[in-house]
Amino acid sequence: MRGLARLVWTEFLLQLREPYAAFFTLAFPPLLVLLFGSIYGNGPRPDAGGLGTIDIAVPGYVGMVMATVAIFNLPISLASYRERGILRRMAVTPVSPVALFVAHLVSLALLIVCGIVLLVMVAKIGYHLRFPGSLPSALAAGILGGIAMLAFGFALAAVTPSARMAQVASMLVFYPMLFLSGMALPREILPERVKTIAAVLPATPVVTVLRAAWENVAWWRHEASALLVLALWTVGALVVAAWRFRWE
Amino acid sequence: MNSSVVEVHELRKTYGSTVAVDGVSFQVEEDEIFGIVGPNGAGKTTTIECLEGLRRPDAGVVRVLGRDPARERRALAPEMGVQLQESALPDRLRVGEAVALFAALYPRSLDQRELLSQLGLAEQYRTPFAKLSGGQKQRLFLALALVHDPRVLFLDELSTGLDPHGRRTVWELVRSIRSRGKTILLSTHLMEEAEALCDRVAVFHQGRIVALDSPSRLIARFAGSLRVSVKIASGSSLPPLASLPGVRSVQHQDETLVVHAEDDRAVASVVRTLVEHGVPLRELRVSSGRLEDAYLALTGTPLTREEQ
Repeated sequence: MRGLARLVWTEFLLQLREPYAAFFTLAFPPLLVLLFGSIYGNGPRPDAGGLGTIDIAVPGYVGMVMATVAIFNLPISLASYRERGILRRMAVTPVSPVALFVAHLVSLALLIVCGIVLLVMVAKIGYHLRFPGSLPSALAAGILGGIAMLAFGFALAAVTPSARMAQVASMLVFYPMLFLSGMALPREILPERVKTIAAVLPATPVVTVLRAAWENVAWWRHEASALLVLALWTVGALVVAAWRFRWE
Repeated sequence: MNSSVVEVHELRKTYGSTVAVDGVSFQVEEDEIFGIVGPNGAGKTTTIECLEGLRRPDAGVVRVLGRDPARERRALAPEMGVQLQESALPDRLRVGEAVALFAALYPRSLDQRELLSQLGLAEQYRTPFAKLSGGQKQRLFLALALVHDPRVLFLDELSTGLDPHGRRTVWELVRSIRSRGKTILLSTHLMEEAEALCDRVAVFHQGRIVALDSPSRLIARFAGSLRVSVKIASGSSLPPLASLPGVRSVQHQDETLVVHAEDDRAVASVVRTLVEHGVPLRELRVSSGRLEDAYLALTGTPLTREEQ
């Protein structure tokens, strides 16, 4: 138990020290809040049922934090561990591969939570963030979305043979989703045809569900198609990961 | 047989059509430093990895402390200290964090600060892995192999990347580990290292053990206990030395003549014959036979510079 806690903590520190991922997870979302907050403020908008620009943007940024950790940190660190014989070294300790893997996931989840807390704090202090939803519904949406994103990152780790390839693949899948899935930009501004394409990207239903939860919509009833896409991606990703992932 | 810390019996391991280890047997006793020497591809690492439980033998029996490492790897892990031939840690992991992490994975552990200062890494406590020199990395891996105070150590290519000074520091350390009652199995390219450290040495050649004994007995048996070297002018004619009683072998490399002799009497007759034939005794040197010479005689292949 002491070993697992130390493993989680060490992994967490290492993730924090990856400058690229740490920036996108911890610094970038609050910076976006400050940027758009300074331009538009967070006054109630009649077109958004009394919510402000920041209130609408924050669930998207939450999705961005999840996607960054799942798509960058997870595949790149797993690939480099495998490539450099770190997993082999761990194999001659009493730690089982499953425990190692769980510790890795917990450290990533911790990083996601840190990113969300920072983001919400900055939005709350800077622009009096409003949260009309209920906490259980938002937590459920967050956990569901987090699992979907981590499963996707895990599948990415399973199909990329090297750390370098993982890096390229991560960028290739991350940037389109950053702009099309409603993370950095609200999806409302996209043209209709692009919206249709965006709807099938793995991060899109995550953001949809998060935003619905934030705005106090009963997403489990009203976002059936998003939930279907989310479920398909999660199951598909886990199948690919289980089928292709190799420790060595 | 039951008292042996490590037992290997008729071990065989193939990769595809390549036979890596071809029927190897040996035992390592408690408190012993046992060396495996041989060139790349001789089967050293495969044998050690079977002992560590990282590979499953195709045939034969492998036991560490009476247990099967492939099936009981996790149960054996606290008793085994391992230094892999090729390994790495995350670039940004610091020395102190690495040792603390590995210490936490085991039921018991040594004082971490003290261990690091013994290994000359006290000042690198906060240095990230990527910033360490080759020798520092090697010493850190040794620290990770030692931190849980194991009973058996497997050190694969102990002094890779170390300069002569660092090598001697590590040798001292290995000796002091043994004096604390540990059993050590190490592999090395360096005959000098095997000679300096090992109680017994197994010479691996093409997946088999071609000789197994203490360094001094291997030298006496396969090289001759004494070694005579003389600088000679190129092209000078030499008397027949190989037929002298007690002379094991005569080698003529560049401008150096090397004769391996069994005893003092043989050395004397070599020197006398040279003098009688008017060969000037420039830089005449008589020294103890070296394990390297025995290795050469056994395998017929010198270790290339690169491998050393």
